[in-house]
Amino acid sequence: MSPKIRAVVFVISAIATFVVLVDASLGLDHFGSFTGAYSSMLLSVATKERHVLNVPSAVNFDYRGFDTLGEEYIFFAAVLGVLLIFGALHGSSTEHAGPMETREMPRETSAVVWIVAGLLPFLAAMAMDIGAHGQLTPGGGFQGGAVFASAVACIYLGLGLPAMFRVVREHFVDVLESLGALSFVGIGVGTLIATGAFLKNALPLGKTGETVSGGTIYVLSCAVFLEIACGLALLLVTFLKQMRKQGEDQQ
Amino acid sequence: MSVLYAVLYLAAAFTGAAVVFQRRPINQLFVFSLFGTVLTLLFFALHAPDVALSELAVGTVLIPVIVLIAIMKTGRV
Repeated sequence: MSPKIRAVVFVISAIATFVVLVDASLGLDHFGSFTGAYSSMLLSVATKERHVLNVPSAVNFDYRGFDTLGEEYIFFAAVLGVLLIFGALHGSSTEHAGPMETREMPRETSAVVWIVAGLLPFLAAMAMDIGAHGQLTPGGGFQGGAVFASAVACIYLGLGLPAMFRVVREHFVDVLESLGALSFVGIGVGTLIATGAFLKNALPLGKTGETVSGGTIYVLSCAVFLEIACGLALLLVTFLKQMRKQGEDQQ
Repeated sequence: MSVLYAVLYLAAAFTGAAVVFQRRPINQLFVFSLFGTVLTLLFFALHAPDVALSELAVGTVLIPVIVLIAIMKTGRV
């Protein structure tokens, strides 16, 4: 297809899309108005029923907990796929202990090292804070886990590859990730046996506003935190290992 | 408030387009990270702090880092 024909096709389809888009936007509700019954109903009952202050967490881990289970396993399968493709778990973990230490890494400036080293504890603490207070404030297992993984990424950015491999022990982290994924189902099966309904909030709900409250919402959030943090850290390490392999090929 | 929305929507449209029009992957990455930051602010302004937190961690840090590693690996800087 010549560039000229391509341009003509683009202009025609762009105009058509624009017309449809404008037509659709004109039929929308007022900005900010929302008429869905489900959300307003949940907003009025969630705090009373589940002793949580952050209703999205109650939706994620309780009212629509089954959906979150699916999302968790999509993530789990994706991480597993990356590990399988890159064969990260086949090589022994001791393989990179020797040559890694001796290979000269490009030195970061000390400012970068100090900023990262100073920032790391705060990042990790903040991640756990976000993860642990999902039922009180915005956040929860996924958000906390993702922030925790960015702290792990900071280790690489500031302290280099060897430090990263020393912190993230693949086999150990892999077990932790699976444990997080497994406990989500475990809690579901446990509540199924105890109450007859999968993922029913069967644990004591606690006092509204306290850190440990919301029953299974809190526990499931912690499980998701473990899975997301470990899964993303594994992804990072697997990609970094690939980069190192190429460096060896070139030598 | 509506001024804030207008500014953020325009910024999102502008940075989103900038990601597409930036042809060098390594530059694209930084623009993408900026786009993620704008989206985070937009979500926050639209009363969705949960989504904003996810976008902040995933869109502005993790995706750029992973893509950065991929770019370094393929050598197409």
